[in-house]
Amino acid sequence: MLCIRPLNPSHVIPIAEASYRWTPDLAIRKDEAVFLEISRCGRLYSEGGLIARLRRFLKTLPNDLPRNNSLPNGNPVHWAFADDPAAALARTYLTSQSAEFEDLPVACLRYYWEPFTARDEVEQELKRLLPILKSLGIERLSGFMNLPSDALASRFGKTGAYLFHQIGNADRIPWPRFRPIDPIHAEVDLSTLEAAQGVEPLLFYLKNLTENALTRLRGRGHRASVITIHFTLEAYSTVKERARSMRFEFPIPQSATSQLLPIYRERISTELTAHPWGSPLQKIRVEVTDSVPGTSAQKNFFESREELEEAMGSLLSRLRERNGPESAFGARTVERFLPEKSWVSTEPSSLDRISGTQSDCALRVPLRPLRLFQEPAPLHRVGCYLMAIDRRWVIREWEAQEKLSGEWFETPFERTYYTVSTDQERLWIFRDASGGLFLHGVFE
Amino acid sequence: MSSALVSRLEQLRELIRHTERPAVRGRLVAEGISEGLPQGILIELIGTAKAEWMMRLLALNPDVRLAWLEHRMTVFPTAMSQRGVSLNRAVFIETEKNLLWSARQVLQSQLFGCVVLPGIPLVDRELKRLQLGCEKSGCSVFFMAERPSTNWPISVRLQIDWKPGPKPEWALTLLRSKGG
Repeated sequence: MLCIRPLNPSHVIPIAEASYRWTPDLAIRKDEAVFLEISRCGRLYSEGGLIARLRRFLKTLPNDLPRNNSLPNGNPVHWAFADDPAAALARTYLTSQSAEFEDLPVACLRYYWEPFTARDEVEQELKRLLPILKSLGIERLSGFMNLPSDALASRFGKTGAYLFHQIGNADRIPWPRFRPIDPIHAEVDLSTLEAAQGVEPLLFYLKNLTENALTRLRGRGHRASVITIHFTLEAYSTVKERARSMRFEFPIPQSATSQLLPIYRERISTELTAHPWGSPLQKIRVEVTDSVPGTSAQKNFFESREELEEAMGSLLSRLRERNGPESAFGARTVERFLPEKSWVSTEPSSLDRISGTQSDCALRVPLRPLRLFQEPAPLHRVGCYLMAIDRRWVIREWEAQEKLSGEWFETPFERTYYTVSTDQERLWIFRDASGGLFLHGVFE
Repeated sequence: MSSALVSRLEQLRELIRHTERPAVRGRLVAEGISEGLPQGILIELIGTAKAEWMMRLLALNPDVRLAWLEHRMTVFPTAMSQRGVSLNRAVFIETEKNLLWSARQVLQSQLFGCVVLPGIPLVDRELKRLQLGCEKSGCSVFFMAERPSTNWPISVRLQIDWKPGPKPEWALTLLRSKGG
């Protein structure tokens, strides 16, 4: 078995696709590694022959990594042979092809846990387990496997017993078979057609091409999450860049052309205003770069939730296209004492989840103002006045003192908050550890 | 029973009536307005407690999806959550210079029942476009204005101010109601 780990994650899919010529038994670990089962190909090629061919292919990949990460021959990739995928993957990380099972450190347990996927839960569990093993003086996998198996569950919980079983049966872990993606694209040659110079004529062609691509995608039960449009211009001597591409990423995968056209219109108008075509368009190609399985390939007659979801995705795409990628978002509260960090932006909730009440962490703190300034504004108190740079309030009453401190793990803070009724509005101000007053919000 | 108590009792009864009243199709349940607010119109809110009243309206209409647009976000989601407004139904949009364009996109999508915009000086032609969008989508647009405008497409203008006193209570005044 051969494991190939390119240092550039985008090379995983090309390597996997190219490796089909050597064996159909191959799998990938997403954005990390390619596994080839070559044990039954001994009559076709030797290990040395395979490596030589692989090197020739790797040279064709764009080498955008620093040379010091490369192997001596300049290929930005690590590889290793082993009997099982986990050991092979571990060896690529150790950058040593000679490391035997006994030499592998216990940190390599993560590869035995799940050689074909990487999950945060595994890392969290290993963070707990590895220090325990270290404290027992177990630093190699051979040491772990020498532990009495009947004591593993009581010592390390089900994790220990599971890992012991995985290591013992590493050569029998089922492979998630890699299948190359068959890209869907549609193109039109404009050289014999009427020139499409403006936005609207262009959209006329794009509508048909997108409909073509999306209909084929729907046939597979998929929806487009990324679409790339390639434009090819005629070869005028004055045109430096004949090929242009526009990549559209959709927060909610799309299956309807009508939702995509406004997004196209927005981007193309902006692009053409900034950089007009230097020569007539020769070819347009619409390519579905990435897709996800759709929940249903047919319209649901009894509810329109899916259409509404797509309409929401289209709206968010249009807004982000014009106002910036972070401009449209949902929010949820989190347990942080610092008021400005007590919420985080999220992807807006799906349309069928509009109900719900206030979250627990928001209820556990006193009432907050509805307006909160990103940057607290310095204030000065002069007698019964509160003065900011450009405003002045007459104090009527100070209320509701609340002391907040913490965040020792990031930037420690200590603030005393007051609600102040003034002649104009109710302010939320705080005094920091140095005694300075700041306006942080308004009960509006 | 003293007159103050009777008055307070009446206020509470009114509050309960509003809370228990189901959302009428085409109208938003609104505290202090017995017949509610019609949907699909432009509404201007002024005063020192306008956002609090807005939150009360959203809490009383839990099925309404909200789009909150600002040049740069100042509304505090944690405080919204504290006032019974589920964040699941809110989308926040920072528009920088494209406030009106973004508002029109939101209205055209017909996905929202309520859109909140900051009070910015607008000419009647722009407001009329928004009004047409409101009518078509059945979505109410609320302007959180600093001072009352003189634009005629605004259908309802409300002033909500904090009452003086230790308790945070507001007083609502209907300044304009086009068509009665």
